[in-house]
Amino acid sequence: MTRQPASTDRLEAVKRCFEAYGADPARWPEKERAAYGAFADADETAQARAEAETLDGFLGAATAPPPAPDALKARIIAQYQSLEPRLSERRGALSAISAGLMRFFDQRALLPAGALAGVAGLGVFVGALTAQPGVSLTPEAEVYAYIEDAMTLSLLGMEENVE
Amino acid sequence: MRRAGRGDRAAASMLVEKHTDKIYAVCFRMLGARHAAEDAAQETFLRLWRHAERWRPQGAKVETWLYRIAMNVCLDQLRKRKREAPEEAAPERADPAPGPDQAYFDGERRFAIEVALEALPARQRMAIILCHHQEKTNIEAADIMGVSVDALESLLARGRRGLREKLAPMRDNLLGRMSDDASTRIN
Repeated sequence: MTRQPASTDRLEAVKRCFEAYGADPARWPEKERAAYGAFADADETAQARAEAETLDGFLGAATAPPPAPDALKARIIAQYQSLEPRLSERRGALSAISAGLMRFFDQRALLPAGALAGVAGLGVFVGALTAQPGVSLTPEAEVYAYIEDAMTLSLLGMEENVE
Repeated sequence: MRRAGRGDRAAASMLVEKHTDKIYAVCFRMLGARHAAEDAAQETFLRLWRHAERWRPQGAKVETWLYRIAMNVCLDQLRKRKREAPEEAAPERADPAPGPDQAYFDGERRFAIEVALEALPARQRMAIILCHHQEKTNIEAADIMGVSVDALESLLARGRRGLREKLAPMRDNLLGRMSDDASTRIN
Protein backbone atom coordinates (compact mmCIF):
# COMPACT_ATOMS: atom_id res chain seq x y z
CA MET A 1 0.00 0.00 0.00
CA THR A 2 1.46 3.35 -0.97
CA ARG A 3 1.08 6.19 1.41
CA GLN A 4 -0.83 9.20 0.13
CA PRO A 5 1.50 12.21 -0.03
CA ALA A 6 0.66 14.82 2.55
CA SER A 7 -0.30 18.21 1.16
CA THR A 8 0.92 21.39 2.80
CA ASP A 9 -2.53 21.96 4.26
CA ARG A 10 -2.61 18.50 5.76
CA LEU A 11 0.85 18.87 7.22
CA GLU A 12 -0.14 22.17 8.78
CA ALA A 13 -3.25 20.57 10.24
CA VAL A 14 -1.20 17.70 11.67
CA LYS A 15 1.26 20.13 13.23
CA ARG A 16 -1.63 22.07 14.73
CA CYS A 17 -2.94 18.86 16.29
CA PHE A 18 0.50 18.04 17.71
CA GLU A 19 0.72 21.51 19.19
CA ALA A 20 -2.70 21.45 20.84
CA TYR A 21 -3.41 17.80 21.60
CA GLY A 22 -0.04 16.07 21.70
CA ALA A 23 1.72 13.39 19.70
CA ASP A 24 -0.79 10.58 20.06
CA PRO A 25 -3.59 10.81 17.46
CA ALA A 26 -5.78 8.86 19.91
CA ARG A 27 -5.94 12.09 21.92
CA TRP A 28 -6.95 14.20 18.93
CA PRO A 29 -10.55 15.18 18.26
CA GLU A 30 -12.35 12.52 16.24
CA LYS A 31 -12.72 14.70 13.17
CA GLU A 32 -9.03 15.59 13.02
CA ARG A 33 -8.01 12.01 13.75
CA ALA A 34 -10.10 10.75 10.84
CA ALA A 35 -8.82 13.42 8.48
CA TYR A 36 -5.17 13.66 9.42
CA GLY A 37 -4.28 10.73 11.69
CA ALA A 38 -2.75 8.82 8.80
CA PHE A 39 -0.22 11.62 8.28
CA ALA A 40 0.91 11.79 11.88
CA ASP A 41 4.11 9.89 11.08
CA ALA A 42 5.00 11.87 7.94
CA ASP A 43 8.69 12.73 7.71
CA GLU A 44 7.86 16.40 7.36
CA THR A 45 6.26 16.51 10.79
CA ALA A 46 8.97 14.54 12.60
CA GLN A 47 10.25 17.49 14.57
CA ALA A 48 6.80 18.65 15.68
CA ARG A 49 5.95 15.07 16.64
CA ALA A 50 9.16 14.68 18.67
CA GLU A 51 8.47 17.94 20.54
CA ALA A 52 4.93 16.87 21.27
CA GLU A 53 6.09 13.45 22.48
CA THR A 54 8.57 15.03 24.85
CA LEU A 55 5.96 17.34 26.29
CA ASP A 56 3.46 14.48 26.65
CA GLY A 57 6.15 12.62 28.59
CA PHE A 58 6.65 15.58 30.92
CA LEU A 59 2.93 15.98 31.46
CA GLY A 60 2.63 12.30 32.22
CA ALA A 61 5.40 12.61 34.79
CA ALA A 62 3.52 15.23 36.84
CA THR A 63 2.20 14.00 40.15
CA ALA A 64 -0.93 11.91 39.83
CA PRO A 65 -3.50 13.19 42.31
CA PRO A 66 -4.27 10.79 45.13
CA PRO A 67 -7.83 9.48 45.31
CA ALA A 68 -10.25 11.72 47.16
CA PRO A 69 -10.02 10.95 50.88
CA ASP A 70 -13.01 9.12 52.38
CA ALA A 71 -13.21 11.87 54.99
CA LEU A 72 -13.82 14.40 52.21
CA LYS A 73 -16.69 12.32 50.82
CA ALA A 74 -18.13 12.02 54.32
CA ARG A 75 -17.93 15.81 54.78
CA ILE A 76 -19.70 16.39 51.46
CA ILE A 77 -22.50 14.01 52.41
CA ALA A 78 -22.81 15.65 55.84
CA GLN A 79 -22.99 19.01 54.12
CA TYR A 80 -25.85 17.77 51.95
CA GLN A 81 -27.68 16.43 54.98
CA SER A 82 -27.32 19.71 56.85
CA LEU A 83 -28.48 21.69 53.84
CA GLU A 84 -31.51 19.58 53.00
CA PRO A 85 -33.86 21.00 55.71
CA ARG A 86 -32.88 24.52 54.64
CA LEU A 87 -33.73 23.70 51.06
CA SER A 88 -37.20 22.65 52.24
CA GLU A 89 -37.51 25.89 54.19
CA ARG A 90 -36.56 27.82 51.09
CA ARG A 91 -39.18 26.00 49.07
CA GLY A 92 -41.75 26.84 51.78
CA ALA A 93 -40.70 30.49 51.90
CA LEU A 94 -40.88 30.78 48.13
CA SER A 95 -44.40 29.33 48.04
CA ALA A 96 -45.59 31.62 50.83
CA ILE A 97 -44.18 34.75 49.24
CA SER A 98 -45.48 33.82 45.81
CA ALA A 99 -48.95 33.25 47.25
CA GLY A 100 -48.77 36.56 49.10
CA LEU A 101 -47.77 38.43 45.97
CA MET A 102 -50.59 36.80 44.01
CA ARG A 103 -53.09 37.99 46.58
CA PHE A 104 -51.59 41.46 46.79
CA PHE A 105 -51.53 42.02 43.05
CA ASP A 106 -55.04 40.82 42.59
CA GLN A 107 -55.40 42.10 39.05
CA ARG A 108 -53.42 39.85 36.75
CA ALA A 109 -52.35 42.73 34.52
CA LEU A 110 -50.38 44.19 37.39
CA LEU A 111 -48.74 40.93 38.39
CA PRO A 112 -45.60 41.02 36.22
CA ALA A 113 -44.86 44.66 37.04
CA GLY A 114 -45.47 44.15 40.73
CA ALA A 115 -43.45 40.96 40.90
CA LEU A 116 -40.58 42.57 39.04
CA ALA A 117 -40.67 45.48 41.45
CA GLY A 118 -40.53 43.01 44.34
CA VAL A 119 -37.64 41.20 42.76
CA ALA A 120 -35.83 44.50 42.21
CA GLY A 121 -36.37 45.41 45.86
CA LEU A 122 -34.98 42.09 47.01
CA GLY A 123 -32.06 42.57 44.63
CA VAL A 124 -31.21 45.93 46.20
CA PHE A 125 -31.44 44.36 49.65
CA VAL A 126 -29.22 41.41 48.79
CA GLY A 127 -26.85 43.62 46.79
CA ALA A 128 -26.41 45.90 49.79
CA LEU A 129 -25.55 42.91 51.95
CA THR A 130 -22.97 41.64 49.53
CA ALA A 131 -21.44 44.99 48.56
CA GLN A 132 -18.29 44.39 50.57
CA PRO A 133 -15.96 41.67 49.32
CA GLY A 134 -15.54 38.83 51.77
CA VAL A 135 -18.90 39.41 53.49
CA SER A 136 -20.94 36.26 53.19
CA LEU A 137 -24.69 36.09 53.14
CA THR A 138 -26.60 35.41 56.29
CA PRO A 139 -29.03 32.45 56.10
CA GLU A 140 -31.91 34.93 55.81
CA ALA A 141 -30.23 36.76 52.96
CA GLU A 142 -29.53 33.47 51.25
CA VAL A 143 -33.26 32.74 51.34
CA TYR A 144 -34.00 36.15 49.83
CA ALA A 145 -31.33 35.62 47.20
CA TYR A 146 -32.77 32.25 46.37
CA ILE A 147 -36.28 33.64 46.11
CA GLU A 148 -35.12 36.49 43.94
CA ASP A 149 -33.26 34.09 41.70
CA ALA A 150 -36.17 31.69 41.40
CA MET A 151 -38.73 34.43 40.80
CA THR A 152 -36.62 36.06 38.14
CA LEU A 153 -36.17 32.80 36.31
CA SER A 154 -39.82 31.99 36.64
CA LEU A 155 -40.90 35.39 35.33
CA LEU A 156 -38.53 35.12 32.43
CA GLY A 157 -39.70 31.57 31.71
CA MET A 158 -36.11 30.33 31.93
CA GLU A 159 -34.76 27.00 33.04
CA GLU A 160 -31.55 27.35 34.94
CA ASN A 161 -28.96 24.82 33.93
CA VAL A 162 -25.70 26.55 34.54
CA GLU A 163 -23.85 27.68 37.61
CA MET B 1 -29.61 14.60 40.36
CA ARG B 2 -33.30 15.51 40.52
CA ARG B 3 -33.73 12.95 43.29
CA ALA B 4 -30.88 14.54 45.21
CA GLY B 5 -32.58 17.89 44.70
CA ARG B 6 -35.72 16.49 46.29
CA GLY B 7 -33.82 15.41 49.38
CA ASP B 8 -32.98 11.80 48.47
CA ARG B 9 -29.83 11.11 50.48
CA ALA B 10 -29.08 7.85 48.69
CA ALA B 11 -29.09 9.69 45.37
CA ALA B 12 -26.81 12.37 46.81
CA SER B 13 -24.41 9.67 48.06
CA MET B 14 -24.35 8.09 44.60
CA LEU B 15 -23.43 11.44 43.06
CA VAL B 16 -20.65 11.89 45.59
CA GLU B 17 -19.27 8.38 44.97
CA LYS B 18 -19.40 8.82 41.23
CA HIS B 19 -17.88 12.27 40.86
CA THR B 20 -15.74 13.18 43.89
CA ASP B 21 -12.49 11.54 42.71
CA LYS B 22 -12.60 13.33 39.36
CA ILE B 23 -13.49 16.69 40.87
CA TYR B 24 -10.87 16.32 43.59
CA ALA B 25 -8.27 15.39 40.97
CA VAL B 26 -8.92 18.46 38.85
CA CYS B 27 -8.85 20.70 41.95
CA PHE B 28 -5.61 19.06 43.09
CA ARG B 29 -3.97 19.66 39.74
CA MET B 30 -5.18 23.26 39.62
CA LEU B 31 -4.35 24.21 43.20
CA GLY B 32 -1.40 21.96 43.93
CA ALA B 33 -2.12 21.03 47.53
CA ARG B 34 -4.34 18.48 49.17
CA HIS B 35 -5.95 20.80 51.66
CA ALA B 36 -6.84 23.44 49.07
CA ALA B 37 -8.13 20.74 46.72
CA GLU B 38 -10.36 19.30 49.44
CA ASP B 39 -11.78 22.73 50.24
CA ALA B 40 -12.44 23.39 46.55
CA ALA B 41 -14.10 20.00 45.99
CA GLN B 42 -16.31 20.54 49.04
CA GLU B 43 -17.27 24.03 47.87
CA THR B 44 -18.08 22.61 44.43
CA PHE B 45 -20.55 20.13 45.87
CA LEU B 46 -22.01 22.75 48.22
CA ARG B 47 -22.85 24.87 45.17
CA LEU B 48 -24.25 21.80 43.46
CA TRP B 49 -26.56 21.00 46.38
CA ARG B 50 -27.80 24.58 46.45
CA HIS B 51 -28.87 24.28 42.83
CA ALA B 52 -29.80 20.61 42.78
CA GLU B 53 -33.55 21.08 43.10
CA ARG B 54 -33.61 23.37 40.06
CA TRP B 55 -31.53 21.13 37.84
CA ARG B 56 -33.23 20.01 34.63
CA PRO B 57 -32.05 17.03 32.60
CA GLN B 58 -32.18 18.89 29.27
CA GLY B 59 -29.31 21.09 30.37
CA ALA B 60 -25.65 20.17 30.71
CA LYS B 61 -24.63 16.77 32.08
CA VAL B 62 -24.12 16.71 35.84
CA GLU B 63 -20.44 15.95 35.35
CA THR B 64 -19.99 18.91 33.00
CA TRP B 65 -21.84 21.09 35.47
CA LEU B 66 -19.62 19.92 38.31
CA TYR B 67 -16.43 20.49 36.34
CA ARG B 68 -17.66 23.95 35.45
CA ILE B 69 -18.35 24.81 39.08
CA ALA B 70 -14.99 23.31 40.13
CA MET B 71 -13.21 25.41 37.54
CA ASN B 72 -14.85 28.59 38.87
CA VAL B 73 -14.07 27.65 42.47
CA CYS B 74 -10.41 27.00 41.60
CA LEU B 75 -10.11 30.24 39.64
CA ASP B 76 -11.63 32.11 42.61
CA GLN B 77 -9.13 30.49 44.97
CA LEU B 78 -6.21 31.31 42.69
CA ARG B 79 -7.35 34.92 42.39
CA LYS B 80 -7.73 35.15 46.16
CA ARG B 81 -4.30 33.61 46.65
CA LYS B 82 -2.78 36.13 44.26
CA ARG B 83 -4.57 39.04 45.98
CA GLU B 84 -3.43 37.97 49.42
CA ALA B 85 0.17 37.14 48.54
CA PRO B 86 1.01 38.55 45.10
CA GLU B 87 4.76 38.08 45.49
CA GLU B 88 4.58 34.71 47.13
CA ALA B 89 5.38 31.64 45.09
CA ALA B 90 2.73 28.98 44.66
CA PRO B 91 2.48 26.78 47.76
CA GLU B 92 4.68 23.77 47.82
CA ARG B 93 2.92 20.67 46.61
CA ALA B 94 2.26 18.03 49.15
CA ASP B 95 3.75 14.69 48.21
CA PRO B 96 0.98 12.25 47.43
CA ALA B 97 1.23 8.69 48.58
CA PRO B 98 3.51 6.87 46.13
CA GLY B 99 1.69 4.80 43.56
CA PRO B 100 2.98 2.31 41.03
CA ASP B 101 3.38 4.99 38.34
CA GLN B 102 5.46 7.23 40.52
CA ALA B 103 7.89 4.74 41.96
CA TYR B 104 10.48 5.53 39.30
CA PHE B 105 9.81 9.23 38.95
CA ASP B 106 12.35 11.28 40.76
CA GLY B 107 11.01 14.10 42.94
CA GLU B 108 13.18 16.80 41.46
CA ARG B 109 11.89 16.25 37.95
CA ARG B 110 8.30 16.04 39.12
CA PHE B 111 8.76 19.28 41.01
CA ALA B 112 10.20 21.07 37.96
CA ILE B 113 7.28 19.98 35.81
CA GLU B 114 4.72 21.01 38.39
CA VAL B 115 6.30 24.41 38.91
CA ALA B 116 6.19 24.96 35.15
CA LEU B 117 2.54 23.90 35.04
CA GLU B 118 1.64 26.17 37.94
CA ALA B 119 3.32 29.10 36.25
CA LEU B 120 0.96 28.86 33.28
CA PRO B 121 -2.06 31.18 33.15
CA ALA B 122 -4.89 29.43 34.98
CA ARG B 123 -7.13 28.90 31.95
CA GLN B 124 -4.34 27.42 29.86
CA ARG B 125 -3.56 25.09 32.74
CA MET B 126 -7.21 24.14 33.07
CA ALA B 127 -7.43 23.36 29.35
CA ILE B 128 -4.39 21.07 29.57
CA ILE B 129 -5.67 19.37 32.71
CA LEU B 130 -9.09 18.72 31.18
CA CYS B 131 -7.83 17.41 27.84
CA HIS B 132 -4.61 15.69 28.83
CA HIS B 133 -5.13 14.47 32.38
CA GLN B 134 -8.92 14.17 32.61
CA GLU B 135 -9.12 12.96 29.00
CA LYS B 136 -12.06 15.13 28.05
CA THR B 137 -12.79 15.62 24.37
CA ASN B 138 -12.23 19.09 22.95
CA ILE B 139 -16.00 19.59 22.80
CA GLU B 140 -16.50 18.58 26.44
CA ALA B 141 -13.58 20.69 27.64
CA ALA B 142 -14.78 23.70 25.66
CA ASP B 143 -18.26 23.26 27.14
CA ILE B 144 -16.87 23.07 30.68
CA MET B 145 -14.76 26.17 30.16
CA GLY B 146 -17.53 28.06 28.39
CA VAL B 147 -15.44 28.77 25.29
CA SER B 148 -15.58 27.76 21.64
CA VAL B 149 -13.63 24.71 20.44
CA ASP B 150 -11.29 27.03 18.52
CA ALA B 151 -10.63 29.06 21.65
CA LEU B 152 -9.96 25.86 23.59
CA GLU B 153 -7.51 24.70 20.95
CA SER B 154 -5.75 28.02 21.18
CA LEU B 155 -5.55 27.76 25.00
CA LEU B 156 -4.11 24.25 24.66
CA ALA B 157 -1.53 25.24 22.06
CA ARG B 158 -0.45 28.32 24.01
CA GLY B 159 -0.32 26.33 27.23
CA ARG B 160 1.82 23.58 25.73
CA ARG B 161 4.08 26.14 24.07
CA GLY B 162 4.46 27.96 27.39
CA LEU B 163 5.32 24.72 29.16
CA ARG B 164 7.89 23.86 26.54
CA GLU B 165 9.52 27.26 26.95
CA LYS B 166 9.55 27.06 30.73
CA LEU B 167 11.06 23.59 30.68
CA ALA B 168 13.55 24.31 27.89
CA PRO B 169 16.48 25.23 30.18
CA MET B 170 16.25 21.88 31.97
CA ARG B 171 15.00 19.86 29.03
CA ASP B 172 18.14 17.76 28.51
CA ASN B 173 18.45 17.05 32.18
CA LEU B 174 14.80 16.02 32.40
CA LEU B 175 15.07 13.87 29.29
CA GLY B 176 18.27 12.23 30.58
CA ARG B 177 16.52 11.32 33.79
CA MET B 178 13.58 9.95 31.87
CA SER B 179 15.85 7.70 29.78
CA ASP B 180 17.66 6.61 32.96
CA ASP B 181 14.31 5.65 34.43
CA ALA B 182 13.35 3.80 31.29
CA SER B 183 16.62 1.84 31.20
CA THR B 184 16.32 1.07 34.92
CA ARG B 185 12.88 -0.32 34.25
CA ILE B 186 14.12 -2.43 31.36
CA ASN B 187 17.06 -3.78 33.37
